[in-house]
Amino acid sequence: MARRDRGFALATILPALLVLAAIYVYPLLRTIGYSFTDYDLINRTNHFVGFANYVSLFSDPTFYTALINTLALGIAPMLGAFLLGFTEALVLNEITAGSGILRGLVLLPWVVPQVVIAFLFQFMYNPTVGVFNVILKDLGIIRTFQPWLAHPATAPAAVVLAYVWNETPFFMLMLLAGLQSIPNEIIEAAVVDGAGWWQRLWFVTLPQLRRIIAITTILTVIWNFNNFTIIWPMTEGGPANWTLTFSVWVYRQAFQDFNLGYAATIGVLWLGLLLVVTGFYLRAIGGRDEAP
Amino acid sequence: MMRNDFMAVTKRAAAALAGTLAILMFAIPSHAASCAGRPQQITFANWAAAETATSKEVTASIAAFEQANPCIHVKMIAIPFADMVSQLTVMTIGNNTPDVMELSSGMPQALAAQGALADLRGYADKALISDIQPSMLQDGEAGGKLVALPLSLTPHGFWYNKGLMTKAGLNPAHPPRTIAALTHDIQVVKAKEPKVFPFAMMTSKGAYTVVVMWPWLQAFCKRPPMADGHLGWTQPCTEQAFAWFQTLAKKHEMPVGNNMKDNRQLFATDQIVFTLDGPYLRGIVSSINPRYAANAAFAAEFGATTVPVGPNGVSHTAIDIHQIAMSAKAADPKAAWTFLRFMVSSPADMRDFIIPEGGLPPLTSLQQRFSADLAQPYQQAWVKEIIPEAVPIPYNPTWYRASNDMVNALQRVVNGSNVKTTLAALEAALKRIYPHFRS
Repeated sequence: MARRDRGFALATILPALLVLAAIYVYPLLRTIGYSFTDYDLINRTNHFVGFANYVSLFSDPTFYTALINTLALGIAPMLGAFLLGFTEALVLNEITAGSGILRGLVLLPWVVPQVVIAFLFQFMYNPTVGVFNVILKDLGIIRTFQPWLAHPATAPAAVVLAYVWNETPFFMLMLLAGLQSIPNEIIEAAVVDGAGWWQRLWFVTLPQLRRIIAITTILTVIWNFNNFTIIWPMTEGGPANWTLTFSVWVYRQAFQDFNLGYAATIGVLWLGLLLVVTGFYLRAIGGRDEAP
Repeated sequence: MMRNDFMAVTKRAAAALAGTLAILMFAIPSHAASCAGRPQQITFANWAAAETATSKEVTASIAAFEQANPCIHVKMIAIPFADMVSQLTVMTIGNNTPDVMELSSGMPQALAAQGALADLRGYADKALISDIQPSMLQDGEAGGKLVALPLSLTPHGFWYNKGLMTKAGLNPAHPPRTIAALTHDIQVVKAKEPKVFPFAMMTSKGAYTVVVMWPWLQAFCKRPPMADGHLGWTQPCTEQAFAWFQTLAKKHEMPVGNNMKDNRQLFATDQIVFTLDGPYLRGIVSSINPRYAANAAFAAEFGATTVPVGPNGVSHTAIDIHQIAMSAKAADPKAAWTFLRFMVSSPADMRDFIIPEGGLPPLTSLQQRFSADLAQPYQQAWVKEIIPEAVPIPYNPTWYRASNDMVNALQRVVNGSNVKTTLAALEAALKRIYPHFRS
């Protein structure tokens, strides 16, 4: 490219770069800067404290609780939603009559706003009038109504179920598109070679979908890591921090405790975790398809 | 156009203009019509306007104020109760603190630490101060200043369901007056009426859970945790209180994880026998269960008294009242104070807002003046027994930060964690927030 052309190109993208810098780079740098301060709106302090927040964070038991919960609530719903979504995609791929209506119905949970999903599930889990309790008691599985969101043993699973319900249609949609893009010739060749349904699924379908599976699962994990709208209305990170994730913890520290320095430190470490996962994602979308 | 036609059109236009002006004059609020200058606007942040049950009442009260003070216009800022501290903190940081604020449960101490609130001793006269119960005033003090006045007296009292007590073979004329008697009655109810919860306490997430737990800590401890610069979570009386909560939860004698709304729903539908709540529970019960709308029906089924006496030997309830405060940077402090004083001391406000919302007037003289409106047995229990025994919770500027840890500890204990180790962990966590507090 000629020098003049390069100058022109730079001039045309400069406004966009400046906007991006203002929106992304400045807040990021500011957050990293705050993580080295004791910025606290209640105690009215804002001094440089070096790595004190990081040292304090690594000695804070809540950090490890939040880390484990963030990983668990990032990965477990993805696994559940993937299995259900893949099953739905396989079924819908075989159905021809009424498939349009069925696909529309199956997609519904994906279009419901997450905060609505949170309140719906919270109501369904209600310990006095919730439909979960009514059904389980009628079936004889429980003797008394249970506080699903208030018990450490059940609250994380109850939250995971809400995530799964929301995310399953995404997997269904993407994997169904993937299934329909597999050339018929490959399937037919496998049939001719005497491959059964399971063998076709394992040796033909799954390898063909490998890249889609990698992208969708990693994307879902990233979304789950950042999820706030489901978990906050449902549990606020409780009971006793059993569903506390980094997103909830940062919110609490920043907007309830106004401990901005510490909140920024959590945010920076959380960003590091997300960057690792994003690295996997970039590798997945940048990878080359293997020849069938 | 002929001259006559022109005159006719002009006359009709003049008549229409005069009519429009007349309509506008009637349509403009009365304060604008009778105030010489432009009315001074003050902002009033409150949760009453954000709740359907009370928004009509507070609006009526403000209308009465504006009628009496035509040169002051009150602009309401409705904020949900749970968001009050965070919203007001953000507004304070933005140098945009509302002129007057409805507060409660340690909010005055949190906001005063940020320099957001005015010292009301510079405004309140002696007659007004001496008309308020000293402990209620104390609840609005922070850093040696009086930063909030009581607006509505709503400390928690001990509610009991007479019908359920009778069914269980207990005498509703003698509700439990000690923790030992309460524990005994809870066991009796559980044995005879297994489908109801003998006892209820909020154990869900949120700072208010600590407020609800506090009277029980006061019953067990002469010096409850956080008082007098002591953490006090590992002292034997605190451990006893938490062990008591744990036993109740373990035996399914109380629901676990419920918030106040859940418990009120159960209480109103005869599924809870004993609980602590404010005097406004009466209105909530009848709104949930119309069977108890009439005073006689309510009084026949429900009673209220003081918190049972524990090892502490004295019955106390925690002061959980609605308060009102003024911004240290109010644009017109005189107008803001005029409004604040109206809300605290005006009979119109008591008639339109405080008594209908289920609270009690903050001034002793007003309690006497409205004695006919406070004649129900439960109201008399509040006036004569519960309010005089109310003592403040030892709030401090970082109370909200600490309350998260306190609620976590309570939730761990009611879910079966070891009491001693949980409280030791709580004490250690709070030591990080209060390094100057003694154990």
